[in-house]
Amino acid sequence: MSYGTFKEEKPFKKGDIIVYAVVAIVIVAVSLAVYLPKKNTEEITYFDVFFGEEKLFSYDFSTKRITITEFGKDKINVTDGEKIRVNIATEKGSNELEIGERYVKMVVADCSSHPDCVEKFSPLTTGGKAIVCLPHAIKVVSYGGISSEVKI
Amino acid sequence: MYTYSCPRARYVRVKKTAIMVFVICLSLFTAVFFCGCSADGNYRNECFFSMGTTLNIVAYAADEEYNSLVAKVKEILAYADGLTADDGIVAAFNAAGYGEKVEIDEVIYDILTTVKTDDALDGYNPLTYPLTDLWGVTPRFDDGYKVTEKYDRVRNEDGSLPLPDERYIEAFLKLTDLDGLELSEEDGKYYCKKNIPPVTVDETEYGAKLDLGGCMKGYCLDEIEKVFFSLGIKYGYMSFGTSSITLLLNKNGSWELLLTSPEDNSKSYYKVKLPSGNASTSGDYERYYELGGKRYCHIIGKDGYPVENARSVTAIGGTSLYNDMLSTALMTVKVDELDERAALVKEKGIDVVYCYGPDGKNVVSTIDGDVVRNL
Amino acid sequence: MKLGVKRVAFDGILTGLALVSYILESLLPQIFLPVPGVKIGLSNIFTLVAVAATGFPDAIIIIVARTVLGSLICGTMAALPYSLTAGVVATTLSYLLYRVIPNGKISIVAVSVAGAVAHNLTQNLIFCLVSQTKEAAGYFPILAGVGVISGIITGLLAFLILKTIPDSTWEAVRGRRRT
Repeated sequence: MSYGTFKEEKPFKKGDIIVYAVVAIVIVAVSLAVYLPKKNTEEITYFDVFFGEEKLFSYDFSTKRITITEFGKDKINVTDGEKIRVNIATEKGSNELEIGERYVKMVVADCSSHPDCVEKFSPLTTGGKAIVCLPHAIKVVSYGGISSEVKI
Repeated sequence: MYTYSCPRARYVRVKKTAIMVFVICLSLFTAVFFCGCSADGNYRNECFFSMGTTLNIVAYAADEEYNSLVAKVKEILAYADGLTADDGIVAAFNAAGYGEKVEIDEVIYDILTTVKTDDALDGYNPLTYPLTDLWGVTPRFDDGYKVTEKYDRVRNEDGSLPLPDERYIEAFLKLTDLDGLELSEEDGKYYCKKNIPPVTVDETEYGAKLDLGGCMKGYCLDEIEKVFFSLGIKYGYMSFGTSSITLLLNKNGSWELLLTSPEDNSKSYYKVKLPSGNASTSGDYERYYELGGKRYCHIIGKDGYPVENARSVTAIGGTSLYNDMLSTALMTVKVDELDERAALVKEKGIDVVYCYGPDGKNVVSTIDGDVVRNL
Repeated sequence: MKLGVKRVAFDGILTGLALVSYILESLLPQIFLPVPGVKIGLSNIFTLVAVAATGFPDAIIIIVARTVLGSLICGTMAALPYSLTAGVVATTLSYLLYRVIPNGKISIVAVSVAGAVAHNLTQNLIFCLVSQTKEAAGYFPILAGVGVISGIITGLLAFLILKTIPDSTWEAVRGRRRT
């Protein structure tokens, strides 16, 4: 081991090939795992919102219906309009979701001045994705394909 | 021992490793690519028209399997529609005279045997057609009330309908005697003897009429489900009319079955989470009219009058055929006796959800679910 | 290697630079796609320099100090569990690749790439586990891709630093070698 001198240091050495090859495999494998299953690329048809493990409500884009659970009814406030806004207020804090024609995104969260859930997570437009507000334990999970809501 | 001291040899080794890695990478890619594209096929959604209503089939299937499925579905629906055609079994029975032995098939034989012997189905009666028609809640009134038969009521001056003539109610009740159906099997053929005496009112004779509309949708769904399984199609569901549904598997996990609210058909009153299964609903909102503030629905009770018990009953689990018959039967049961009947079928693995009360606000269920709050 | 005064001083400088660049970067608006925690990660340049020039313990101290103090100042303490773990994992991996593998076969750029990818993936993985949301793993491909790009950039910059600063400085930092 030769510490102390970087005369031999180069931006590219022969061993790099292996490193880049491994990185390439990882990227390919991960891309396949994420993009291959059809359910991750189908357009969003509905989504669920959880507080911890309990479901607060779900929204179906084809029927444009919100179904609020017993658990969620005292924590949810829905405002209709061009875009539906859902306000979630729990003992951990408050969040607000915006529901558009075929997307849902987090617009307000009072967990920090620059909340990850608002700024870093992109709006959900396909199935198999999520927006998470960790400090408030709020999770929005999207689904594509056949809506799981069936009616008789 | 000398292999790695020479720079050129090291370089060659690194290059070989890199190439090997690349090849592995490529084969991984192709393997996963082909694996992922197999099995489930595409999302298909198709509607079929049968028995006066729509059957909606949703399935994940490859082209070949899907085409076979569609062909078989058409066959099954053709059989069901054929029963009521002019040369069909039901038509034959309806036209038959007193004491005549009508040839039926195994399917109808099994259905009628079950109806006659199963206590849990008490209240479901495929012979109530004359009464249902008398009350004006059969499909022939779907485009509006009309006076065609002798017993059809004539509107009062203020436009309201009088109640049916009690003589007809009494007479048609006699035509609903299930014991008058004598079923037999001989040499692989099935027969039903129409041992129900006809009744005469106002010099017109009326014979017993069979109506299997209350269970044929369920029967079809059961048969179609068998086709799904035989073709290896696992994901999807089938919904027949607004009253019967068969759920296979859901790629996203469990289904959320919403039960239609009797007060507002665009809303739901209860939600059940099911990984798969069959469900059938009967309600007082499917075909009805209101007179003097009272609702007269299409389900006729044992007294010859439209029932006024639960607003809606849903049977979950069991075959679709059974669920269809059961949900109708339970609509004829008094609300305070429903729990007992529900317990009876619970032993067969069938759950019941029902609602009663003026707004259908009271909900009782033997299966876990959520009461739905509508906005 | 001796724990000389010059070494401690140099580590201090690296920590300071890492912290400042971390805070400055967090103030910049999101340039890349809105993906959880994506940055060029310029402060990793200094961690890499530490791995290459001063050693593993130094690098670990720098990354921990930078992450904890940086989160404190930026108000992103909630993200600590995953950003800290990711940082430590990435630094360890960098050390293994650059120093432990004999013959110095791997350049600092490749090490940087490996470290960046490992950092992003670990961060996302821990996030998925902590929030119990397997769907958040959908960001893996983008994070890995961004890791490659940011890895190359930081790696090249680290390389420049290593090459530009005269060897005498490196030797001084290290303390005299026992020949």
